[in-house]
Amino acid sequence: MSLTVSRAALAEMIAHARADLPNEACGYLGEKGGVVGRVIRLTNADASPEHYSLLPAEQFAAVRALRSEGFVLRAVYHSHPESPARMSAEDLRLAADPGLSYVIVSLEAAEPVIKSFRVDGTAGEEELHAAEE
Amino acid sequence: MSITVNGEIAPFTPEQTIAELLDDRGVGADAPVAVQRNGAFVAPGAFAETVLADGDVVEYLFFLGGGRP
Repeated sequence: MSLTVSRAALAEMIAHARADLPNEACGYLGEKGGVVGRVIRLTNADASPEHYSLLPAEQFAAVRALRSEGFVLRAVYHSHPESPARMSAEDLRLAADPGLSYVIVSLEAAEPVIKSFRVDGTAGEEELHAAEE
Repeated sequence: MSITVNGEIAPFTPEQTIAELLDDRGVGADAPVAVQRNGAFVAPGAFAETVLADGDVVEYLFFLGGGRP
């Protein structure tokens, strides 16, 4: 599989990751017409630089908002403020939804790195393409 | 008779519980899911005894998180 994300959505994820420093940022990505074009910032309930948890009430509200705008929930993203863009053992352990892609925004280097992963039968990194609007 | 599950109309059987609905959809009994029925959270311990009714709106999703190491 692969994930296609608009440049605006990529920029929004990076902006969110930077805004929530030193903590990890997290959120949902909505897809329409094969392109992720909607970013919904969610609260990191752990407020931690090393861990994140979503709040179910926010998750439900976000899913309804996406649906009302014609998007489908396609992926969840979170940031790694000081580590590479790869799935940690804890990321894998808590990646409970096999239907989603898991996007990681790494701010470890001067230039942010964004990668996407699957945890279903094709577990591993998937191609991530940037698209114009 | 029908219910709405995650935004889509779905058939259901009389006396079907939330636990049975989740099982039908491949969500195991131990899966970390949150469920809302008609906008109200249903406690995981009540999944097996909460019987669905015609017209119910059910939403479910997975708890998600991550971190180091």
